[in-house]
Amino acid sequence: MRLLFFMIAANFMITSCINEEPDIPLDEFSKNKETVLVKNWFNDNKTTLRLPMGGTNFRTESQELILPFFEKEPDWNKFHHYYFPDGREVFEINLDNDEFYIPSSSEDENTLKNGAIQNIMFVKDPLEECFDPLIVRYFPDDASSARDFNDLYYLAIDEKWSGWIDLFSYDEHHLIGFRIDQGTKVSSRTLSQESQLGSESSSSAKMVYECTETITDWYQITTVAGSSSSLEYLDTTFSKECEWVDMGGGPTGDGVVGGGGGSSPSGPNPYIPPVIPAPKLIIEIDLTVAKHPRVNCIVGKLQMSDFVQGIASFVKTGDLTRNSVIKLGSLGINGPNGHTKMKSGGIIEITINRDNLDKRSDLVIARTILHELTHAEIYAALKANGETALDGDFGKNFDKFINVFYGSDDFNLGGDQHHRYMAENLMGKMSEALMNIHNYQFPQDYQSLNDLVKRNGDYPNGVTVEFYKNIFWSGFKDTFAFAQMEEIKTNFPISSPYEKFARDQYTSTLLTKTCGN
Amino acid sequence: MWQLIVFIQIWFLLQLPTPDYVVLIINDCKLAKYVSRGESPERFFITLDYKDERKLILVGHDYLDQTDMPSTMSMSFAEIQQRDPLYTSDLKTFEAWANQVAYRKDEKKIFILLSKDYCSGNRFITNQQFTLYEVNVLLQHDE
Repeated sequence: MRLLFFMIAANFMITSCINEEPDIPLDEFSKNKETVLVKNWFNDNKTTLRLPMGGTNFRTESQELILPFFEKEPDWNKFHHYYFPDGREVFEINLDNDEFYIPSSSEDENTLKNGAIQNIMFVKDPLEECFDPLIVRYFPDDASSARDFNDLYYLAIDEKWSGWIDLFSYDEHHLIGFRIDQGTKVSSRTLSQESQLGSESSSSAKMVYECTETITDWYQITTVAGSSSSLEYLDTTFSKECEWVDMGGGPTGDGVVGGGGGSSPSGPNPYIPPVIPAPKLIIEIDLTVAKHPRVNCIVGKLQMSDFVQGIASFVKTGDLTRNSVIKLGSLGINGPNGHTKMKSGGIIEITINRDNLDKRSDLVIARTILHELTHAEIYAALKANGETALDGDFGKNFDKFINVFYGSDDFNLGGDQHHRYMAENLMGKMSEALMNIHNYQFPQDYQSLNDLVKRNGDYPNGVTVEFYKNIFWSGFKDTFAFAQMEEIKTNFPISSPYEKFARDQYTSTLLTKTCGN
Repeated sequence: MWQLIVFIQIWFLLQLPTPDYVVLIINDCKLAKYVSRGESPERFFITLDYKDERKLILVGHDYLDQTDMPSTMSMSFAEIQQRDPLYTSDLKTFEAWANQVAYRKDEKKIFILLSKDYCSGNRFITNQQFTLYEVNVLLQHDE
């Protein structure tokens, strides 16, 4: 086992975090800055990402499973962008290779048809401009868990998906697998050539660590023109699946497996794969939304967002698996655009004001829903002891914004803790998410906006994330951050941040196309 | 029969069409800030930053697409007064702005008289013509 960890650690020590200054063409950079950055880094470093001894053998004395290496061919047009709970940035990109591995012979070709997916995850180093690559393979149990690339990624396992998720190093060392039943992680596995059962056990007064063993045959399948053409037996492995069984209460430590590892070039720490948090918000779409074509359309488009998928999944009206609900309600013509509250029974209720919808553009309605979703996720994070995809250091950051932080009410900062936290910690992520939603889900609206802001000279090169930040500010007016922004003065003709906020708020009212029409 | 004819004529006289717009005079002369967005045709927005429950109110005459270009009209001050105009200085609450301007139940269009015109003293000149601009109004709701 030590050898396994040593090899994995050595692998990442050798292969990761190689500093290279990417040479990014300006026009391409502006199209998709982040993926171009990853792509350039990968192209510069892919020849060094393998173990020096990495070859065709898939078995070593360590008993670990090492599958044959093949050159990875990411499809850069299919990617997810999200953050691990510890704050590390992740780009998960689909692999366009014909080669694929499947863990049993029984389903062989059907496994592919059932929606098995293999992606490469680039986990950004928090300190340096480099990435840790991981191969992640999703093996659904059956056709009911078949998903498209867009609908499934590491932090967006929906509540109906069942199967195995296996993580491999870039050069195909198997690291760990997770068993997912109905969207919940129930056990993990490591793979070994020999039986491991009985070699390790643990117990405590209230918990029993139970292990079962599964024998798995591994096959390589190669596809040509979309259909499978060859199936080659590779190896047989034994996996020990262990889980804590609660025999009488007590915390289970659910949701924390590994995590915080990463690959550091400065020490021999074993690589520990990142955590898999299941989405915490399971939001029921109330009939009031489902029957409102425009709002239902906007909610549908928001569901395509990586940001939203990272914190929430949506279920239909009446689905009792939900822990939250989104609905339209009458909050009055003078009332708020939306509000979120925790109801008795722990259900988080998001209400969007239906009384002023007709006067609001799709973009600002989407903003309100994102704003309220974030409130809901904060409530959920507080229930889950601070675990959230929003922020790897949620507890510490959120606690800074209790009222005493600013001394007294004399500061006249009536904004609540949620808003203060969101304004200072999440504005960037929320704005980026809204911009992506606008760009990809409302392309016509986005193009019209670009034409307008160029014509007016507000954003001569096209709209930027600053516009979307200014759109979000209206929900954070009672915060210290807003007061600071408002205080910044400039000399004519340079517009102050507050003037830009007012300008962009106004511009957002001019977008008239309605979702679905 | 003749009574019915007279009644119908009187009824029609009483049902004279009312204008489908409301005139709002921006008379918060120091508060209103005019921000030009283009001169030909004139496009602009006005900020009214009340710093109270009304918060920041934005009133604008602009368009995204040529086909959505808002209208203008010309009127003397005497004619404007005959339209029973609203004055921004009278709209002292968020509710007043919502009910009388932004979310009118009768959905009448809002035309404004700019503060630079109202506050200039030109309104005292006989038959001076003013341009009224159709606007949309944005209120800042809480979230």
